Amino acid sequence: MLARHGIAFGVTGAAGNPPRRHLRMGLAVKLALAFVGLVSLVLLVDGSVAWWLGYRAAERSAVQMQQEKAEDAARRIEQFVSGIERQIGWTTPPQWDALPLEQRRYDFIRLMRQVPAITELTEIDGSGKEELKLSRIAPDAVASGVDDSAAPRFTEARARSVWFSPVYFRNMSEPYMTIAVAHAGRQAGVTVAEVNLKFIWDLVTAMQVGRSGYAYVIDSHGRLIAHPDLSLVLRETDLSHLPQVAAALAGLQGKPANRVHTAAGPVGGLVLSAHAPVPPLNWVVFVELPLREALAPVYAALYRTIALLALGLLLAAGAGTVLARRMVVPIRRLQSGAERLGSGERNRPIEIHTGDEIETLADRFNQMAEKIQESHDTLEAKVEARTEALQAREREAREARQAAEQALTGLQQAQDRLVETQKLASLGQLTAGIAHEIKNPLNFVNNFAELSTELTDELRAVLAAEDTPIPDAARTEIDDLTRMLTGNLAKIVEHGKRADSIVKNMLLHSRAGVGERRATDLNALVEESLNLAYHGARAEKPDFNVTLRKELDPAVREIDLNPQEITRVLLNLFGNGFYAVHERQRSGKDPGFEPMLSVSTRDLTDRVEIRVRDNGTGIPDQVRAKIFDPFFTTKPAGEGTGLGLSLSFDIVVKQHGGAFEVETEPGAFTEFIVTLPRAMMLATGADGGGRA
Amino acid sequence: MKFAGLPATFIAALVWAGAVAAQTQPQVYRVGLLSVAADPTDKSPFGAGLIRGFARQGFILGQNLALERRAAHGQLDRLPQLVDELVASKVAVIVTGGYPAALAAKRHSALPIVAVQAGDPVEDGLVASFARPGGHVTGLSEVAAELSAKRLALLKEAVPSVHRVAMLWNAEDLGMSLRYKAAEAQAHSLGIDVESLGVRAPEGFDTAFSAMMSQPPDAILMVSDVLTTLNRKRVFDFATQHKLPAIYEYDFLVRDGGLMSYGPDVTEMYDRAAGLAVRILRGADPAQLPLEAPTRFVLAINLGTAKAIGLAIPPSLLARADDVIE
Repeated sequence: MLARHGIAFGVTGAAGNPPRRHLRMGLAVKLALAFVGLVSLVLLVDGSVAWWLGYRAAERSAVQMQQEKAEDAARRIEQFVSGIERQIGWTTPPQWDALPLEQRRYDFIRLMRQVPAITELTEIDGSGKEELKLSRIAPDAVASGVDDSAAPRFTEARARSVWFSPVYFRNMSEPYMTIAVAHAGRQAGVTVAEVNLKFIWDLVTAMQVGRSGYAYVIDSHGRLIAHPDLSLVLRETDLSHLPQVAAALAGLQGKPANRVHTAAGPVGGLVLSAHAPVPPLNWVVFVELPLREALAPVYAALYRTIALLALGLLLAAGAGTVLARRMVVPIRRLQSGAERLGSGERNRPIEIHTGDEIETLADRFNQMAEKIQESHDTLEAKVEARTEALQAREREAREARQAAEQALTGLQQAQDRLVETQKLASLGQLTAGIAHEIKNPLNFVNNFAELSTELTDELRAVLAAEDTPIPDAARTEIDDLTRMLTGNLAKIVEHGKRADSIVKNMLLHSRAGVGERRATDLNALVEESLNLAYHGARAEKPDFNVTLRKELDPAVREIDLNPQEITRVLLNLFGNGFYAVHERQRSGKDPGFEPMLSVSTRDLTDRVEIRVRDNGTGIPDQVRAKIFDPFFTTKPAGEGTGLGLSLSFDIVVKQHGGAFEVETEPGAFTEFIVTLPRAMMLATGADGGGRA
Repeated sequence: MKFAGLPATFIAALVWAGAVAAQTQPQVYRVGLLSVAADPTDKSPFGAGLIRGFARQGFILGQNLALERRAAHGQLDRLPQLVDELVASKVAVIVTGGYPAALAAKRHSALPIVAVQAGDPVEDGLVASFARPGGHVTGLSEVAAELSAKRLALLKEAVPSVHRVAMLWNAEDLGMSLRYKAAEAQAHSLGIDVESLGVRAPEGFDTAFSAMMSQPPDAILMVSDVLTTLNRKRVFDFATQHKLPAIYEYDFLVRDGGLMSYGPDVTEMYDRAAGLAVRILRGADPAQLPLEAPTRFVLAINLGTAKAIGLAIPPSLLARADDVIE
């Protein structure tokens, strides 16, 4: 009980957590099972009842048939034996013993001719002596004198008038029985016949009982005396242990005994058994038929029933399946529809047209799905709107950040420019001061040098006069000295003028923002400046040659600027470019080198851009950082002041609020990019800042 | 490939149909007949008895029964070869007529054998016992030894003056020797002297006849076997010529001209042999089939021959005769 409880709990536990997808037993199976169960129950009950009735009927009729056969056989055996007994009766009338031997012999011969089964006939006289013996096999004997007075064939026959001996076997193979009949009268003799019972064997062996049935005979002790299997008989098999034999023997003795119809046969196997007694001999004839054969039609019926049952089951299963399908398919569809609904696929309605409750249920499902779809759509719209708003906000934030970053960059540039401007402004003031202080002594130097030159010329003129008395040797020496003096003075004047020029430039430097601004055609200004520069360069170095390119954007038009100052810037840039290309050509490193300088303007709406590009020597990196510094120059001494680019930067950045950038690659090109604003807002601001 | 299975299916169907046809045809049982003497034709006691016995059990010649018949015509040395032929023709059981045939069949085959006219099979060693023959031989006993004495008694009854009886027998045949010995043993109680005239070959009859000429017996008892049966006419002629009463074993000898005979009904013996053969065909083990004994004995008397030798048959003997030939 405990174990069973355990199992029960286990099962409950398992059932408490069933798998969701796989049903333990589908509706279809249940329906089909119910159908099949019902049909098979009906068929089973019907079949069983029919079979049972058929079984009983078949058993009864088989036993009845066997009974008839047994009785027939018993009757024939009885007739056989009683016939012999009757025939023997010919030799047993009163006074037969007194007949002459020859007569008795005739009677015996006649008896043996009448009854072939009698093998031997013996007459025993009243005293038990053998009187006459006739045999089919042995020689006949007359008055052999054998004493049979104590033998049962004599005593029993005398006591009962007829005596049947037990069956015995001659040569251990031939069944025999002694029939002794006492003669009538007092102290009468006995006629003894040895009867060959092979007739009974033949009778029993030849009996056809069905296909495999058989008959057999037992004597009053249950000993087998006839059976188709002779070896069983010759072994003197005792069958009294068989229930049907025991019952029959009990019946012989008048005891009440139930007839046994079904039992094991003498050679095994279940048989249907019937029997009939052979009265005078107390033998019993049995007729038995193997149950298997006797009930073959019944079993055939049983198989038919089973086949019908199987067919019925098949049909029931088929019908059940069809019915169940008709019911279950819509339910499955409903189920899968519900699953689709559950997985979010709501736009396919469940299609069921069975016209029953399931269709109604499916319609309800569809309605529900629609409702869900509606609310789902609303929700989606809201989410979309919110998402858009969020994105817009993000975009705005990004733009603001970019603007801020731009502003920061501008601010940093402005700051850089401011720092540079401040630096240059203070330098300018310093330079202006120095220049002013230097200009006065320089003027004296220059003026007096020119004066001295003139004086020297006058001196030479004086000396040259022939009337001046000077020895010729002295005259020559004086001439040389004066010439040297004139040369020195020329050098002083030259270098004085250069110093003056430096000072002037320095003063120009410091005089920032001075000059008038007006709307000027920038393109015209560029062209003018380029021509000027080119011709200047050609005048200075007649072998100089360069290809010029101009790309002037007509959209640039007029710009508010200081033309003189910008011209200076442009001349400076062009001069630098010519110098660079010339230097490169002169170095002779590139044999096929074509000197080129290009200038371009471009309108950038609120600004204009001027690009001056040469394919000259380029600017090394270490130089590039210093090009805008005052007094920095790469040119040999006396060729540049080192103030050109510095001044240009001042003019563009400080005076006009533009930008001055350089791009270069040493040995390839240099490009200066000047950007000038159309409006002067920033420039004014920068100016103010510069002055402050 | 799809059609490759078609011929195979067709063949299988044919084979199946053939098998069914073979099953529906009744099984034919083949039974071998081996005779030491003449052919066991349908008319002979051998053939007729068997066919009758088989037919009673439902084995009809030409329908479900086929007989393979072999006869040695007295040439006993041919028997082994004939047995081999029967074995080769795949018979299920051999029914033999005569002791040498039974012996040859027993020695040269392992087939079940039903021996008929083999004398006393237990005494001559063909089988172990009546109830349980053992081996693969069963059959019918002739109770021949006992009957020899009975024949002498019948001879004495026909001619009460008989004292000396010449017994013609085949000295080559063990079964015959046994019969002679049994007869000799019983003869004294009947007041008869038996003179043995063993014959070994057809030529031996001349010797036997001349022996009888020199010392004429009162009567002749001829033991039947292939040798004596084949030379029966000479015996009949000699007996008639010398007016000697003679008794034989089988009624057909009396019909051929012998005076009288007493012995089992040959046709009935073969009839019973068919019964044994049928049981073997149905699966019984010959070793377990008890020997049977003849139940019918025939006393035949040829009155013509009796008249020829001037013999009056006593009425009591005539009354007992089953077959009286006029």
